[in-house]
Amino acid sequence: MFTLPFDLLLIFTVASPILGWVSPKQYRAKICGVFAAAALVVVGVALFGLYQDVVANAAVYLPSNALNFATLRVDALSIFMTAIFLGLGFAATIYSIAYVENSGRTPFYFTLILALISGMVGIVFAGDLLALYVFWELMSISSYALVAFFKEEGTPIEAGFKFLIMSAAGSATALFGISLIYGLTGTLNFEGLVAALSGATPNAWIYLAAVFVFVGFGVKTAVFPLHTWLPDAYSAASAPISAILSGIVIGPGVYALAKVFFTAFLPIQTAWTLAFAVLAVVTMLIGNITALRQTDLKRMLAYSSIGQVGYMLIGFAAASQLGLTGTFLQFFNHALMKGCAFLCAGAIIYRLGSRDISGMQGVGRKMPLTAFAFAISVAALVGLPPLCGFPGELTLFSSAVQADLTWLGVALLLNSVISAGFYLRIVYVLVQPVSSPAVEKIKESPLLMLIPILALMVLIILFGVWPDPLVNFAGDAANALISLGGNP
Amino acid sequence: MDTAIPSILLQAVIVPLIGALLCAFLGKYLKRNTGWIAAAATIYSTALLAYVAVQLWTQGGQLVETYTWGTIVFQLDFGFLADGLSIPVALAMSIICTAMTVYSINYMDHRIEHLYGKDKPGTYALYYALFLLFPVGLIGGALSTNTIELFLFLESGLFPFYILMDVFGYKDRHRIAMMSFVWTQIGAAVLLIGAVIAGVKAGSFAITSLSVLSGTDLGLLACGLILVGILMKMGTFGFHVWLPLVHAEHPTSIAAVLATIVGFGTYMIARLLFQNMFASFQLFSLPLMILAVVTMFYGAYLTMGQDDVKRLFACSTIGQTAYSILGLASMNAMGVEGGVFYFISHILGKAILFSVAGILVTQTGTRSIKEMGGLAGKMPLTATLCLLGAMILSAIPPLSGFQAEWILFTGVFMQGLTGTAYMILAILALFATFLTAVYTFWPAIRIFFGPTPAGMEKTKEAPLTMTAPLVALAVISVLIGLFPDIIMHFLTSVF
Repeated sequence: MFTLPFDLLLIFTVASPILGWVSPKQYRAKICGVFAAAALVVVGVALFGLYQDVVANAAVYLPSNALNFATLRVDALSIFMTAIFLGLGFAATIYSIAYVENSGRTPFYFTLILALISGMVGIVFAGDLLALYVFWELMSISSYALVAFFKEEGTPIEAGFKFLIMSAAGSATALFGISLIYGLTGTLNFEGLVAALSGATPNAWIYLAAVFVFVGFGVKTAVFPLHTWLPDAYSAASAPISAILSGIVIGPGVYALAKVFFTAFLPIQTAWTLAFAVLAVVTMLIGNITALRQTDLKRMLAYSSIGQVGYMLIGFAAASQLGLTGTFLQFFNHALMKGCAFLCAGAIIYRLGSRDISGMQGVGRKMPLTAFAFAISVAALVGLPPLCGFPGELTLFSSAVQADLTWLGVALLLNSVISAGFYLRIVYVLVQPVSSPAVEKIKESPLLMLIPILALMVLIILFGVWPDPLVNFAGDAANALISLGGNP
Repeated sequence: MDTAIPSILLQAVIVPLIGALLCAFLGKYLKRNTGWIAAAATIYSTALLAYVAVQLWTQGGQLVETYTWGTIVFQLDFGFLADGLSIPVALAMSIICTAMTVYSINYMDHRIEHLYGKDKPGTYALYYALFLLFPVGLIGGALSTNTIELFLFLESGLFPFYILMDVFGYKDRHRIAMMSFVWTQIGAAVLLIGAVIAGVKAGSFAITSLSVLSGTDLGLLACGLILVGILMKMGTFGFHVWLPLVHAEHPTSIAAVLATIVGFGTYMIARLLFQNMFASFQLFSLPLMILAVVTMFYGAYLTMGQDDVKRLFACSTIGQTAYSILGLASMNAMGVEGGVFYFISHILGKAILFSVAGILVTQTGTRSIKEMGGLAGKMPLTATLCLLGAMILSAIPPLSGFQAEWILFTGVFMQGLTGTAYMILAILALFATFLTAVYTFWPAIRIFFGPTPAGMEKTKEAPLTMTAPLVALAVISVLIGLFPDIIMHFLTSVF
């Protein structure tokens, strides 16, 4: 119906609750988890086939490139994003097998993860704004449910509800913006939008539509001042879900903003580049400075995600191929780094039962592998070479310098210094001597949690030492978007 | 030039890193003997560098090893360069690290027992694993061929320093560790901003491509940022707040390493700015010289007021590092050679003096000079070492300090001949050196001579693992002092 990988993903999503229903109750979590993980692997294999088509044809259209129907359009950027979604989704699923317990609801947990990934894949496969919006809702609804899924822990319901209200308002705003665009151009197809709007004299309606679309998609991206739901949702969700939310659910927001601003809103580019530059600085400052003050490990990581979103916006401000390469690269790396960090935090909280950082003194002595992976991931988040955060930040920095926004690049570097203050505090606490009886009792994370953590850690080091393939891939993705907008 | 050993420079950097991993995992079982693994790793690196040095001496030229890091957006090479500038510096730093590793074995035993009791084997793993990152950072930094790589190696020394200071330091260690970390981190960030701006504009991060910008407006900006970043890390006047505090309160086994990290700025200025951005750098001659002279006097003034034996040597680092800056600021080959030579000589002397302070603290249990006296009879070897260390810093022949200072001031006075202001500064600087003798010998006399106070009668000589490495350093200093050509042969081949 759509494309092989996407079809498979939807079929697996629908099949997973049925499988959970027929499987014996005591093995439900294991069976459904393994099924979901296997499903993601199968989809990944199918995606590779699609990737070869995309390499051959630049973009694959489904059903066809009609201007007035909902279509899918798969290009290098879509493949790039999907690869991250599947990869981190797979890691989080494996981790979840150890994390969730057997109960009647367990199968739905994995169904929701698959639905969430389906929604995100749909967004990046969408060829027009309508299809994008439909899948956006699929993603949003699954994510509200996942935040509130473990309702016995803390305040997930409240956080999920806050997330729902803000996101739903955002979606409605985005839809309003989309309808304005449709009113202006008579089409929602991205190529149609470029054709209809290129060379158009900017009028107030375009600016209004841009603001609405920005606010709508910006909520999910957690751009200042739309970020307030994020710390609650991330810290209330269970560890694998926090990893997915922070690592990849930011992605569709960044993707949707990039896709719309680099196609439909190209005529008013001079106006929005400066706005993005200012927003980037404010967002990274708010995220990093607030993170400095946190005592709850997951909240700290959540705020730092806002800071990282600020870095990604630099690519928008630079508005060049290099800038977008940096944005996508940073997004990919952030998925690895923050995904790994949240999984490690989850493993520590799972063993220790507390989220207060000051109570974690000496955890590194008891859980050395987890702590080592945590240290590597936060060092990468600071942007230290030779880990994978570095090439991304360097690319963003130089794109800012090339666009004559050196101050923006300097802000990035200073922020990474600020962020060292809280990231490295985590490492510092972990290596302290054991000081409490609670820490004395804990042991290394379970194997199923450790495997995804270590796999992500290896990737963090690998893409830091050998960044070329990834930078190339991100460059292709950026090229795909730039050539769609017809902007050299 | 060629060597018979493949990837020799990479090995010199990576072996301590492997040693660090071994220490981290085996430390729990080996306890205090973990130090010997660390020592083996540093000795291996030192041996490799010594071999390269010998080959370089006989064959001349330089040795470059390049490993590709990234090519798509940037040409980023992970290269190692051994030439007449980097090899003596790398070798000297490697020797210091080796000596301090051996010294640590006994010293850390005391320190860990004092802080955490006997049954904490994990602390040994922590200490040695982090300690070995210093040789990785310092040797790697000296051999780096691009600015990003240089930054990476600098950072790999900073973070272990912070944790070691925090976990094993003396009074008020948590606050001071954080303070020094913030200062050096901001210094590193300023340096990185300068380097990245230069790299992005020049299209390559290779240190040699900094020369593309030399003399341009942007070059001036990049040069200024790099210089300020380095000066912050060197604790020159105005940026010195953190240095005496941290230098006094850390475990003395890493004191010499800190003096090396601080002085390493000398090498960075020589390599990045003097060699590759001379047209921009020479504009900073006068301000840098004034800063150096002010720092020299201030450092000496600060030092003379100290009663605490550790803080005494800590404050002197500020003034001593400024000598090297003075040499660099003279903007001629003699001055720069002297500056780098002085850096090498200073870290040898400072390693000896700090370690003597550590010995005094462990053997007597106090840090106050007032409570000590007449210890020469109890610990003759330590007393001799202390006097030798004082002689190195005060530039008394035949130790290395004299040769270094002599060459350095030749350069400074050559610059002095170009203008009255320079000449006045050069003369002032020469007076500042006399103060060194006061603040190094006077406390040595108070500690080791005169009447022995009550309670100090039973003080014993330190064990051999603590004194032997210092004797080795003193011997090296004497050798360099007698045959300055050992260093100068290399340096003159570059400048």
